[in-house]
Amino acid sequence: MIHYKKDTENIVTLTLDMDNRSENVINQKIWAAFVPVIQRLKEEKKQGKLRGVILTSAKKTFLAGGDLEYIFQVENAEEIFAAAEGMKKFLRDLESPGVPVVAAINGSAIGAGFEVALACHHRIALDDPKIAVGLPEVEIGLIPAGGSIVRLMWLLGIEKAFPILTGGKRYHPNAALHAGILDELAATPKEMMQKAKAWLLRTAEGRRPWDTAGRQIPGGTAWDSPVAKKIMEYSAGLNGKYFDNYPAPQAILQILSEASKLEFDAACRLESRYYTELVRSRQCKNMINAFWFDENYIKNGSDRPKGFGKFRPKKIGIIGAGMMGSGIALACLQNGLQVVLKDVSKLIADRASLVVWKKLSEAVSQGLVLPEEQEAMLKRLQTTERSEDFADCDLVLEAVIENQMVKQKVFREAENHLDEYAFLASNSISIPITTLSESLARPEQFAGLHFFHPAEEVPLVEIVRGRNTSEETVAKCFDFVRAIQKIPIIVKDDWGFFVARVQNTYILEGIALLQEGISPAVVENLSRQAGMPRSPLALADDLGLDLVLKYEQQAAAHYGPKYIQHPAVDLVKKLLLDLGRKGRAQKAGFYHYPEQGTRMLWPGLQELLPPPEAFDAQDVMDRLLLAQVLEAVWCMQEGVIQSVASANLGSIYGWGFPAFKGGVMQYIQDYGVAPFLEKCREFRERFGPRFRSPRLLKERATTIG
Amino acid sequence: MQDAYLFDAVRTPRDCRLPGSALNEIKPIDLLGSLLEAVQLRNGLQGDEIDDLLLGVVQPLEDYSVNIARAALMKMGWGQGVSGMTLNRNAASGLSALNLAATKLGAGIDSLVLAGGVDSLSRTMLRPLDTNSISDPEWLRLARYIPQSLAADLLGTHDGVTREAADGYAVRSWQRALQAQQEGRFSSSVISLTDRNGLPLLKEDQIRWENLTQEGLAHLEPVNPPLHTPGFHEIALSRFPHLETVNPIHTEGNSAPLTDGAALLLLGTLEKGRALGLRPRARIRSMSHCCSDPVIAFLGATEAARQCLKLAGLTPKDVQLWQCNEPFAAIPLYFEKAMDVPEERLNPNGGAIALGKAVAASGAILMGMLLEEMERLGLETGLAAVAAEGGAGVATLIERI
Repeated sequence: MIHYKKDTENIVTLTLDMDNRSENVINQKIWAAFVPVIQRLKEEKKQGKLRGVILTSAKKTFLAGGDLEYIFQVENAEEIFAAAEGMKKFLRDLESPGVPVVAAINGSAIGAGFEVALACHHRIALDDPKIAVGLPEVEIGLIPAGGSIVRLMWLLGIEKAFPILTGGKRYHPNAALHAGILDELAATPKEMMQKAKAWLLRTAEGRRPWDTAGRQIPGGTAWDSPVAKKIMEYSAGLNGKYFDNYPAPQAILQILSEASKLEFDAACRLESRYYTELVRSRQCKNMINAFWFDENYIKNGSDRPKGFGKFRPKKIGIIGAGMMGSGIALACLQNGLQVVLKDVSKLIADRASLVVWKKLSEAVSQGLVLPEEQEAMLKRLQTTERSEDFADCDLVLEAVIENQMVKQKVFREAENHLDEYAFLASNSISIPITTLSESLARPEQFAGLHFFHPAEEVPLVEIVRGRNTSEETVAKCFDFVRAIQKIPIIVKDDWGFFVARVQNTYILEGIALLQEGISPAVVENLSRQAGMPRSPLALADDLGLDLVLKYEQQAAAHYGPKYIQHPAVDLVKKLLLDLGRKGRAQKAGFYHYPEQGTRMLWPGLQELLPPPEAFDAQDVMDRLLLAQVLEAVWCMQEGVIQSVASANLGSIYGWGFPAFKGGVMQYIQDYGVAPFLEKCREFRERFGPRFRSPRLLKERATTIG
Repeated sequence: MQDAYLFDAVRTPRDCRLPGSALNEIKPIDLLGSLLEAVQLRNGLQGDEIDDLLLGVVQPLEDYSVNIARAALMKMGWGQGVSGMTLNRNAASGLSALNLAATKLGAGIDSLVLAGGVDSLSRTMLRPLDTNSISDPEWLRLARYIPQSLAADLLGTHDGVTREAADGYAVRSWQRALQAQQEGRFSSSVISLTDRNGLPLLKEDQIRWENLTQEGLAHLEPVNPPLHTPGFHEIALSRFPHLETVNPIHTEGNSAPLTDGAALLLLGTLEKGRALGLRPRARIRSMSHCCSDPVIAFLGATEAARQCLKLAGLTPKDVQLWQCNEPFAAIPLYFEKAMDVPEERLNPNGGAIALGKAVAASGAILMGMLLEEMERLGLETGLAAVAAEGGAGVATLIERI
């Protein structure tokens, strides 16, 4: 479990090597294993036979994070508090006996794993961009449990600790060194151990600043006016961004502020108290559900068609060297794939490769990518104007303009040069995949792969299964999306697929509110307060009102006589058809776009709307979210989306549905199925039949009871 | 209930030049001491006739931390029976001190009391000139805290106050203060300050500008340009979502600068006054305090004034003269509109935009200015109202004898 080895200079190397596991994780077992080890170290120190300790790992990871499955289910406050205090005691035992301890970080150390490193007196890491360190707890609505907020505050000061803790970023070693959370880098494992020893030999005593009389928190405490002022600014920043929706970053700031006025151990206990509150919060459970359980569900391939061997893509062809094409190319290159990027002329294709180069150079300057890796990636990128160069591609993907003729033409050209194993995919958003497949020789080897802007960043891809798409092709698409480390969700070839379709109901609900006398500013402001990153009217303008209307017309065509017109359609038509206000592209929509400055709501809108009515803010926010949730349930019922997990992640990554709700389906669990149905019933009576509950939901209510 | 009568009102001159304020050289306890001495001399008191000193102090720190009210009395040697206390309701502290003192008189507890406030901002608050540095993020979030200047912008936006109107108000405040001083209207209440040798330190209020035009103010940058501090705008809009944005109305020009200063009011029962030969100048007819929306923060003066009138059974039309504090121009402009006050009846001798705000003393200064102007014009009924941080409001209605 923990290998003990002492050298001639009385330096002990402790190597973490958990039994029957591929990585070291933080759990009760590892703490228990440490107890006798720390006891032995203390005795050796007393006898003067210990110079220092190096903590390292026998695995590929240094030490991984805590047990999310446990955190997800635990509810008892005493138990949570005791667990946090237990971990803190272990780390305190490691740092306080006076023996200097170096963390020799030879693999990733994330979350609780990095907390152990922070409890060492010195941190040296291998300079390998594959290694990541950091405290990403905030991403799942949590904070560190081991005292890292207080330790970082003491090491870096409030001003530097705050963005690291609330950002939840994973740092590569170089960036971590600059951020101040690592002390040294080493090029090789050997050098790392040499540097660790050298540090121990010149360090007589391991004593943390907070255990040293007279030492102060860098930059000062919340008692100092400039710091207090900063805290107020941070607080405003968090409140203006998250409102009351995300308690974890709020707790971090609160702990930093309070802890700066407390002695170290009291500050750590305070951290445990906030930690306990967060573990029990709905937000934390919802976020663990989405980012742990749902992500694992997808990553385990639960939605992937069964019975097909794993597809290992090597070379990808991309047609269209615009923003989308270059973004996809970058995502492929960063995951070790070869890319052939084609456009009508090599010159245009070369311009995309310049974009790729620039983005990689940024990554290099941030220490995320090594210069030699950048070079290797660019070598794997081939630009061309000839379809012949697709000859040995496993997959050719188009990202050209949204025009059926053009898309069909580029596919025909590519198809001629592909072997029978390769398949084609389209990034189409509004042209049905089935339609596009009809002009192909092998329509079954064709699917939609719908990326989102910016493709290298958004972690989601919709796999669109056309009527002719084979299960094998779907499986291959799935494996490709996983190979570039994105989340695949499999969707049906209906209008807007899943993401755009559900998002459109959010936009339409915002517009419907206007027609009931809720002012545009109220709709925009309350949508953000409800947790949506973009407000409905601004989003309508960004997409274009023509597209908003088109989706709804496609819905009308789909449902035929059963279709009930959405109340928003009239206003959309009025703006679009009567007034020619198409949206942002034409600099006129719900907003007007002055030459200088930010867009403002179009004053003329008032004349089209009824006079302002009194409103209930909660109703407005509920409606904006409920409209999306119900549409997602319709999508489940109609087979547009396959699983609750893919709906949740699709909603969070695809259009920014609030993560603190756990995604568009988890929203119902969070609300409670029965109260949710009751709310739908109420809204249906008050606001119209679009709030009726789909059959699927009623069935689930009865099965759940 | 016994009625409370005002016998005297004194205040220090104000000097909002920072740095360079003559008041910077005086300890807050001595600022207060000069006024105690003046009250003693003007009214022929020994000192031990006073039952209590109620003093507004908004930051009981450092020089104030000893309970400065009692400390000043000890220094004056007014006898060990005279007690003192401090209280805080931000800008409304001075008026709250008056109202509490009147209540004590009414309850028969005391018969002669001093009430007022002291602020020596140049000595204690120079570190963060922003009055608040609150480091409790949980409270900041739950209270939807925004800076006062943004709250004032929010009030202005909410109520349709334009930048032009706000600048216009600043010019009006300045013109009135200048004229009042030139005509010597303040001379009976403002006490000249001297150093320990009797050498003059500050004789009269230092008016902020020598010349001022609306055009001159129009060039100033707003205090809260959009995106000034990320977050505060969004917080303001989360409370008032029907607004698309908060208009940047206030500048340093149409907001009141901070100043040092103190003010005291002498009040007592009619009987006690008669016994001491003090001439009652006005009777306190009604008093009120309230709290209104904490985010928009400055509706309190209006709310409190309404309550005060209601208690007296009067309407705004019955009031002949009004004083309302003016930390930002939008506050008196809103007050004027909401209470339907004729322009010439509100703050006729200017206010803190021209003279500076000594926060804890504000209410007591306003009451003194109300009384002296009512006497000059021979008016019967006047009302002073203060809007303070967090939505607080305090008002006092007086009748001249």
